[in-house]
Amino acid sequence: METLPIDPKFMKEMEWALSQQGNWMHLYPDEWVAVFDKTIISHGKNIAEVEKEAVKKTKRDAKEIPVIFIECGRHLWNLR
Amino acid sequence: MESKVIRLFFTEISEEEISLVVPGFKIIRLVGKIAFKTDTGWSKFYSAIIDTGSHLSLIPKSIWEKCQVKKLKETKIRGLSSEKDISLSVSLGKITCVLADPLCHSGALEIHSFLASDDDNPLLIGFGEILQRYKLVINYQKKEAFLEWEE
Repeated sequence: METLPIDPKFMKEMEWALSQQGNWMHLYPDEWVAVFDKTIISHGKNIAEVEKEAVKKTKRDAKEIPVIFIECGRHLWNLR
Repeated sequence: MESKVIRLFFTEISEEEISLVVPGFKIIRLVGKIAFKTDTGWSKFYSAIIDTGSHLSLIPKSIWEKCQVKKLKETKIRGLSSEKDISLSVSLGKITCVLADPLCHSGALEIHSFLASDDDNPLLIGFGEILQRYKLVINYQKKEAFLEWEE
């Protein structure tokens, strides 16, 4: 198996971003946000576009930038 | 035999409407981290909701598009609403994934999954072909959750 990109900094940043969902749910409901250095770099409905913008702004590889989904709080995902 | 564990974690979001009648109500999700096989290696890790109510996993389009997938069938999936026009167009496909926490990973898992036609939904890890392989332990009171298996 190839080396997995398990980067502790990346993982920590992702977990931090997930802990902020409650603060962001009214700003970016049902959107994807890219986070770097505990800052939202870009957001939108399309992951690829969000990542592209984040790479452009940070000049980092997309693999260094966690992207998470911000729930609006209305969905039962398994019961769509 | 060695016991292996991948840690999961909880996210909590305040819910205003329900909180009006149920003070302090929170939406609690169980979340794991998952990456997928690409032509050149592995994608980055994405967070995914552990969803025991989903019979298969669901992967947003922008994620699976960059990965090695074999599409098997076009279909539609529905949930709470039984109305046929309220459905999500997906492909049933084959993809290889890996679950991980900062210390451990599952190794490559070939799974069948629903491949979404857009990015409107979060990544869901369903029961079929992922959760059925592991012991899933959830202890919210202790804020502890993990997948466990023996190798």
